Order: sequence, then structure tokens, then C-alpha cells
Amino acid sequence: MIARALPDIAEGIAARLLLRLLPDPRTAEIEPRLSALEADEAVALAGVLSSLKTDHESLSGSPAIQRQVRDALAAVLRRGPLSDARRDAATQRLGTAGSLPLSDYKISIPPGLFKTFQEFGERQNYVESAIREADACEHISIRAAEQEEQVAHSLFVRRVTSKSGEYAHLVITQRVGKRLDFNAIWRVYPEVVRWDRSPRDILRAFVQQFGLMIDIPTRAPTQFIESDAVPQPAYSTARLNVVNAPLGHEYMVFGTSRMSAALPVLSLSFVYAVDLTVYGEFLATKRR
Amino acid sequence: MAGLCLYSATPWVKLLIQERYRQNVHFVWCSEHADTRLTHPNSLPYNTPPTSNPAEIYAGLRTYVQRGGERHNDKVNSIRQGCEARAVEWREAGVITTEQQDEIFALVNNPDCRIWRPVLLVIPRAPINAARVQLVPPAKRAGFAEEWTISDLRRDEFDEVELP
Repeated sequence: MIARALPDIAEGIAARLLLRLLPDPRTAEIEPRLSALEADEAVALAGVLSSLKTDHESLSGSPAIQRQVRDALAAVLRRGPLSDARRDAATQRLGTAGSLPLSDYKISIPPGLFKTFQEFGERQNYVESAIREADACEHISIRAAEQEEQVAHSLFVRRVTSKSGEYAHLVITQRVGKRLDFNAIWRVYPEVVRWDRSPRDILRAFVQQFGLMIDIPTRAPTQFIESDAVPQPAYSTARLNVVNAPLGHEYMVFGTSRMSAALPVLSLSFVYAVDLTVYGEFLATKRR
Repeated sequence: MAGLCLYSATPWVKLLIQERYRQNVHFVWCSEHADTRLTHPNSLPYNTPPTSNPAEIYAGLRTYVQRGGERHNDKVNSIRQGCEARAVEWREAGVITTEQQDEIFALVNNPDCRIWRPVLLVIPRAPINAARVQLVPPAKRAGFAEEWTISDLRRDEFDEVELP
């Protein structure tokens, strides 16, 4: 409301003026700062004071008026950046960069994918708790090749104490704007992985225990691909193959893989395969 | 004798802004004491006003967050407005883009008050060239004790501590 009543002040001038008027515990007196105003700042200040129906003298003597002037200048600065469209676009970028408070992210859990984890006793609210009340969280942005868009992952670890003992939930998600797309939830027991590591290292150690080897054309087989851009001729349909799955075992491949739009490469990030049979049998021993 | 470390308290969001938009180069205003109230009562630092004592700055921000962020907190409003004005200044100087300026505005206006949670910066003095540590002139200090600024502190030159 204040901003609408204000004269049209250029943002740069409003910013300079605001910086001069901000309370400085070290120079409580405002007079020296007011007397040092540039000509354009003085004109802007006169305009603000007039719109607030007050004057220079009142400004010097009244912290309340100083606050009103600062609020009015701040309102001028906010008109553009905090307009709905620009604020929303900025928030989406902050979301992908991992700079938003966790409470701001919307968690998306595909029901089809989650069925696998339900079989291991997981519930959707465990995922939400692990994210909202994480003991450790790591945001990772990966660019598999220079021309590629970044892929953003967020990993969360939350310690849980249950009747059957202590374990940690490790949740892996992909960040897309303000959304966290669920990718996996694993139970990590302290005898398998030490918890004083980063979530990324906990995932690596978990994969060492329950992972299977993955074979990709032109690369040596490996258990975990954090980031890679694999040359892929257009005619080739070869993708990822799990090479050492024991007969009759169920397994699943996790992570992000996509063909590049710009290059004949397959971009991979956080790719690993888990032997679900071995993992399920291990969990069963913990529940006995 | 100069202390082995310098201390500074700041809201987490300011640290994030300097990390993301200032190439992780930080401007800090610091003290030789994490809590000047713990110095000898006859010493100069003992009389440092709360506004310059890292421990009291830290406590003030922590109380703000613990209370769920009062809507009209002058201290936080001032820091928020300072960040916004700096963002415009940096954008006008060509240091950041309009998109980045908007991100700073969106960050400091986020309704989650936890972005204002305090962090204590612990800055070991030995690795920092003495010329980079500027003594604040007495007229610009809040009290009688010595205060320092470092305008180009790199992220690997300090530890960030959040007290339990």
C-alpha cells in the first residue's frame, strides 16, 4: 500500500538510500548519513517523506519514521522481484539449486515405484519424515556432460529407533524445481554402514553391500555410477545391463539415465542396482 | 596478544547468499571473543554492547527462530532490507544477473523463519594475511573493544558452527 503511494524512484537510488538509512549499531546517529546524501538520493528521500506526509526534521528525531521510510523504500525494491511471476520463477530455480528450506518442497511419490518398498515395510509417511526431519541432508547437482542440463539429487538420512533396534532411513530423491521426486528408501543398519558419513557415502556403502554390477557399453562394469556420459551411437539400443544377478533373484536398477538431446551420449547419474532378494532377506533377519 | 581466532555471528541465509552469489567470498565483522561477557570485567571487551557481541547476536537470532519468527522483528527486517538493497546494488553493478537478484529477494522473503537461524563463524587467524584483517576505527566501533572486518574471507578459511 505504501509503495503504490510512492513517487517513482529508480531501484538503484532506492537501494542506495535504503543502505544509508539502515540502522547501524555503530553509528546510531542518522544525521551524518543524511547529510552525505547524493543529489538523486536527496530528491528521492524528499519524495518518500512527502508521500508519508512527514518531513526531514521528523525523520532525524523519530526511529518510527525512519522505519516507515525504510519500509517504503523496501516496498519500492520489492515491486519487481516479488511480483508473482518473478517470485515463482526464482523459487523454482532456488528449488532446483537446493537452496529452499526443506519445508518448501513438495514430495512426489509414484505409487507404482513405491510398491516395491511397501513390500519391505516402508510407508509413505516414513519418506516424508526422513525428508522433513532429516538428521543429514545432501543436495547434489550433476552435469554429466558440458552441454547437458544438470540433474539434481537430494539425499536424506534420518535415524530411527524401533523395537528391533536402531537403523537409519536413507531416502534418495531427484529435485525438480520445488518438487522432490522420490527415488528410493533404504534401511541402513549400523553394522552395515557407519552413519557418521555423508548421505552420498552412506548410499555408496549400502550399494557395496546390496548392489549388483552394472555393465554399460564402452565402460568397465561397476556397482555405482555417480555421473557419466556414455557415448551411444544412434542405432544402438544397448543401455544398462545388470551382469551378476544370481538366478531367481529379484533386482531393480535405480537412478537417472537419459539420452542427450544434443549429443549421442547416454547421461547417467546416481545409477545403481540393488539385489532386492538379498536386501529383503537381510531385513527379515533384523525383524526376527 | 592477539587471539588465535576471530568470531562472527550471522544468519544462515546471509552465508548462503555470499556462498551462491559472491563466489563464496564473505564479508565479516568480527570480534576476538566469541562471548565478550566472559572476559574480565575490567577489560575493554567486557563492555562490548550486545549488538557487537557474537554470542548475543547469536542468541538474538536463535530466540527469533525459536519463537517461530515474529512478524515485526526490527533486527531481522533490517538484515532482510540490507540483503535486498545489496542485491539491487550488485545487479546494477553487473555482478549478478536479474534472475540472481530475484532469487535473493525470494530467499530472504521466504516465510520459513529457520532461514534466519544463526551460525557462528570461527576464523583461525594464522592462515590469514594480517593485511586482510582490518581494525575498525574507534569511531565506527560499537564499544571500546577492538573489532575487525575481513572483506574477502574464503569459505575454506573459517568453520561454521551451529550450537546445540
